[in-house]
Amino acid sequence: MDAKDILGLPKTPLPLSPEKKSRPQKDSQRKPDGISREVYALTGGLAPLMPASGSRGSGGGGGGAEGPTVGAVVVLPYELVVVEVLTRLPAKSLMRFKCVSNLWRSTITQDPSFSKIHCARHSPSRAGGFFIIYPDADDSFCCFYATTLPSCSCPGDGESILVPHQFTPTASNSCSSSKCYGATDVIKGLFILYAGNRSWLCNVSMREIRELPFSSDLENAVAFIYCLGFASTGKEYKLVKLCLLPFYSTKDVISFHTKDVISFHDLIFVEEEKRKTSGLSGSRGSGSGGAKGPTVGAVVVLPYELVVVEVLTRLPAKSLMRFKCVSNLWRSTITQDPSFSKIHRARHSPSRAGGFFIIYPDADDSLRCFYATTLPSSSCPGDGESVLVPHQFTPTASNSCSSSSNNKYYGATDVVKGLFCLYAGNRSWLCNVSTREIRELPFSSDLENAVAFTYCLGFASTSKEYKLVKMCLLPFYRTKDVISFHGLIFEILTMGKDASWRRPWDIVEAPAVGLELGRTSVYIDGLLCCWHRGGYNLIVFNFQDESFQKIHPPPKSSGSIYLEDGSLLLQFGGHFALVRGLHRRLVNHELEIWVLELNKYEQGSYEWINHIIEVPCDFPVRGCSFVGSLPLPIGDQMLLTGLVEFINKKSAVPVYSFDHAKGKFEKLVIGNFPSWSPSSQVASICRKDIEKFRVYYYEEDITPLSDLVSNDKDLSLSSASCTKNNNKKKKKKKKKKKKKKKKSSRTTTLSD
Amino acid sequence: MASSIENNNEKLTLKSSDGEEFLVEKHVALQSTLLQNMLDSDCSSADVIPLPKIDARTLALVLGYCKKHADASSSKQGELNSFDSEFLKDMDMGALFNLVLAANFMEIKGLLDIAAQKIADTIKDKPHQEVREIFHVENDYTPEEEAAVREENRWAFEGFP
Repeated sequence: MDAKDILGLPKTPLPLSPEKKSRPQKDSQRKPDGISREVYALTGGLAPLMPASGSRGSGGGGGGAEGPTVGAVVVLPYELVVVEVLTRLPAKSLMRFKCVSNLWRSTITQDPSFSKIHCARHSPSRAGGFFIIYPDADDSFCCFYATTLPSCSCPGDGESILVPHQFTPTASNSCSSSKCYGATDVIKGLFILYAGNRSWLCNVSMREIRELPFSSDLENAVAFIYCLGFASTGKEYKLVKLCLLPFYSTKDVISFHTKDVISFHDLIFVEEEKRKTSGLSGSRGSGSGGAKGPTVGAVVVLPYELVVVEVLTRLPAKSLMRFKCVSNLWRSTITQDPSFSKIHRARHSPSRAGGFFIIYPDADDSLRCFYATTLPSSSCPGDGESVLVPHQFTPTASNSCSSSSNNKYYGATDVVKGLFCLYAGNRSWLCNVSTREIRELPFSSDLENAVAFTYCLGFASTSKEYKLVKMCLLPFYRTKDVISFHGLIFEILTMGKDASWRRPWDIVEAPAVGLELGRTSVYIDGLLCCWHRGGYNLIVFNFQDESFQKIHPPPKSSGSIYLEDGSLLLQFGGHFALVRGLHRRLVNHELEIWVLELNKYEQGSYEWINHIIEVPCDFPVRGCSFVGSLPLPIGDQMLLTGLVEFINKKSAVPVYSFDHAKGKFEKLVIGNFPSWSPSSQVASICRKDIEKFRVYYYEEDITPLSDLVSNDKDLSLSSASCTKNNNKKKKKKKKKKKKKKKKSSRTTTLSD
Repeated sequence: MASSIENNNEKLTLKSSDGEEFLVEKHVALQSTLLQNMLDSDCSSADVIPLPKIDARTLALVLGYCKKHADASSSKQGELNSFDSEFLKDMDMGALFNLVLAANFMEIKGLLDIAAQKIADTIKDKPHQEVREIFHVENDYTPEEEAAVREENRWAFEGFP
């Protein structure tokens, strides 16, 4: 007699593949699989294998309510069977009875309330057993079960019966067969077997075993110890793993074998599946060095946090870029930790390290970038030329949207707080000057045919955002000789926020934005000054509130004929300024500079202040160009170069710097710019190129671009809603555009 | 070093990890924020203050630094700077590490700054393989991964192995 007899189940043995056999029952009873079966059990219905299957006698269909009738087969309702009978069975029997039927198996193995009741019924005083872990000769463990141990009260009983059990993970649970070299204590019915980095969770009573995840970076670690515990408040089992990670090992000697010089790279505490991976105090945060103490003769190891905060943050960006190769942890700290780059920036504030960054137009119209650690300063002019190190910004395949490998850049923005943008038509790239990282920015697909692209980078200091402004002309219609344009397209991309370009103004609404493209604009501290169409007025764009201000030119100076064409926009001591009369020979070697003083407190009011500065004899008298402004600790320096000198360069390009502190010009020779395109000829560098020649002083800033460029999927997801709105707006605007197109399209003639 | 001198309030006794005792004037000890906090919170200055993480050699250096900085008036910044650079000159990496650990533990910001800066200046132009050894960092890159990271920043590796 077995369980099936007692409970009135058919004697047909249950198959290993249960689906086949249970099918006939399904047919008759219509309740086998999954949920329906559970519902059935809960509602106290009849067992799935009720007499309906017919092989055993008749009647009894009424179930438990009928009660025990003599002679008739009495069938206990399934619920009673489960709650009252099965829960009282020892685990060993239950494991066997999983074979009774699918329903039984699912109740025994998957029903949490079942195991709870079972647990309650088998609380301490009741049944249980002894579980013995015994080391075998080959260093591995054997497990034994004993129902009783010979107790001291009846010592005569002699030995108890030890039943060995080999915990073997089934193929589906484990990668391969293995021996276990350690075991934790048995905590609330569970324990852990382990062998090095691998560990298995086992249930003592059910003898179930399952492999746990392992830490892939601990393959070389040794001396693994695991401890299992139960957090009673959270009702969670937690496994603690301790191990030692050797920091070096040679063929014969592994350093930790010599016991007096124990110096481990790390002592790692890993909480099962809850490894901390946060910031500076990451999973490897606690170094053993500190605890070990600086003993003479022993190796001193700085805790990682100290290494990062105190040492790495003091290194120049170039060294940091190399040291990304030291280890994965170092790389992630250097490239991904925002607090790291913040401390680094603070440590490299103005007075400290930095360098010069030079953008120089090559003969083929594209731009080259150069680095120089020092410029020959005016204080020691004898120094001669500085060393120029060329650098080609090349996006890696993963950063770039499109696959075009040949990257030439025809334009560059100013360097703003360590970043600048390179561009070529509709495509643009954000670059970090210090880390030389480059990432492609999104482009507007509807501007494929646009021309005369100009980009300007700015920093909104209140919201601490970098914003890139794009201006271009979209051709409206085109004949052989004449191209007419809709007008200026003006788009803004806020770094790290906008997933795509915003077009805040429709072409028509664009305020005074008849901007003159292709003429020098100057960026100072959140403001961009550019020329208005026609070249008579100036427009100041504010990157913070994205507003425009129209600036009328300074009054004509007495005696000079008003010709703005010769005016040069530049930065003079932190202000926008205009130099006039450069088309003419300078009178008395005097340069007339008008400085624009914007009133910070009263929006829209401004003032022009006239300065006359004396220029040295060899200062270029024609075609001056502003090449930059150096925020040196001594005081700003305005840099100018001359067109004649620029074009007729025989060796090095001279740059004239105006030292505000001293109030006079000095001549610098920046260096010899090699042309990268072999076919280039000196003569092909022409007037328009001079405007692209720029010299910047930059401060070290290792801000990773990944935070600013939302090429990544996760970023674009978060800003998806934002772009949706934008798209809606765009659609609306497009409709408007169509209506107003006829009225608004202005015609401009471009001579090729 | 003799602890037998009578304790007046102006002196403290510090004990290194290897058991040596240092008698220092209170205003010298106050360079350390840790000691300052201990004294503020009414730790008796008569007791020997153990510094279990700092060995005698390092502690002697630390106290030398503190004494110089406590005694010098703030106007002599230039003199202090030259003392600082002379102080760290020829110091090996192990000693610098010990100094950083000690300065970090005792919270002596100035010393921590100069020692850490010295380490940074020393490793700045070293190949990364050497840096691994200095900081006992295990190389967990596969050769391919390392080559990829190198390639990302090829410009920085010019002239380095």
